[in-house]
Amino acid sequence: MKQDWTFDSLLEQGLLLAAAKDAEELDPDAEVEFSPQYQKFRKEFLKDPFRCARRNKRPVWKKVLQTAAGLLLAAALGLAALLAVSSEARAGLLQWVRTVGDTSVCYDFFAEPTNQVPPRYEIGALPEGYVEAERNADPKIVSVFYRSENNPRIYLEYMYMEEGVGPLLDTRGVEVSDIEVHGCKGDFYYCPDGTGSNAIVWADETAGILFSIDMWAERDEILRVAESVYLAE
Amino acid sequence: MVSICLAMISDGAEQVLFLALYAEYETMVYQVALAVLADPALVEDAVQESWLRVAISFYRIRKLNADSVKGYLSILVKNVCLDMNGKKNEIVEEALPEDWHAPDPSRYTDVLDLVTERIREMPLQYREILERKYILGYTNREIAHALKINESTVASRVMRGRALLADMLRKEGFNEAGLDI
Repeated sequence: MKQDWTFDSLLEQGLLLAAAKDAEELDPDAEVEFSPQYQKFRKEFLKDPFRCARRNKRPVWKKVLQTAAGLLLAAALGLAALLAVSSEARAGLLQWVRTVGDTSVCYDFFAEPTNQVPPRYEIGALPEGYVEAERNADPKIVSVFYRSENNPRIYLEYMYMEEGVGPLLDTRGVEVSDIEVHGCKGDFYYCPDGTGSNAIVWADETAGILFSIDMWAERDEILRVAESVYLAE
Repeated sequence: MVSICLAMISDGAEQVLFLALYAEYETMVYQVALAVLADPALVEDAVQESWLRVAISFYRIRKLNADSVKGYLSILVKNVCLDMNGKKNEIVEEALPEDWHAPDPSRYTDVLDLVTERIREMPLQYREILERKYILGYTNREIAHALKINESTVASRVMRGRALLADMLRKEGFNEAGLDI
């Protein structure tokens, strides 16, 4: 039976059905035995899956917006036209720019890429019960995931402040304020309605690294954790 | 088998529907993850992450009809596994064949069947991008970041994948079916 389609709707349906057919070719009757650890997660998760998912969602800066009113390229407009400029710019050369838009904050870096993985940093003052569970090097962005049995996750992420890796943070529903981490200028991202985690992003210009700590905690606690980040190698 | 009609969801019933979704697809999600990762040690982590993402994107899933839910979950799980395992770096660059073996259109009841089979034959580098863009709703920038390729490459592959499917449909004479390509 013929049906009226637009190409996009046909493509979407085709993708979904293709994936469904692939899944159907797997063993649908296979018995799965989950580990005690997974069963524990499942039990907690199914009590309130939406709350559990919100508490575990990825750090703020993983959500990339398609457009941001204030997202401007410094090279296009000239540095003086920017809404927010690093006051720590190196003499004679601006290495990075933080641009504040209506719904986002964007960090743009202009240093030549080193193509190197940043060295190993760790959190020195982890809250009790937390252990490092996962460490991934992008290779330009290092993401470290800390887990606790009964508490929400903590993320430490960092990257060289070099061209090509500037994060874009979704600030809808988030309050942004100034903060310093061991004298390094930074921003505190606070979710006032409690539906998301909070974060501190700071720039260590000496090391040339932008850091972020994302966790479900208040400002002072996150600052304490941020200030304990140290070079482990 | 539970038949989930997500289109009839009502406020306050979301959790009940989610639990039904979980019950129906728990095994399938595991099987898809196992097929991609192979390592049982990673599979449970991938399954856990997948269900968390399902909960986050439930607003999208609830708009799908029952037939599409299975496909969406399969795509979501597959992409979680690929991201976790870094297999994106292992995709071999291959040229999209200009002379795809055109399936006999008489085998298919309608154009959707034809497109579905064509997509299943599509090289992974194109299909994965189309899935991320049109099903999971990622931007070109997010896709580029995940796959460690340029945004321009993402855009190019999207256009090329679409164009080849469109050309195939034209050759099979589906324009007169009211298909607006």
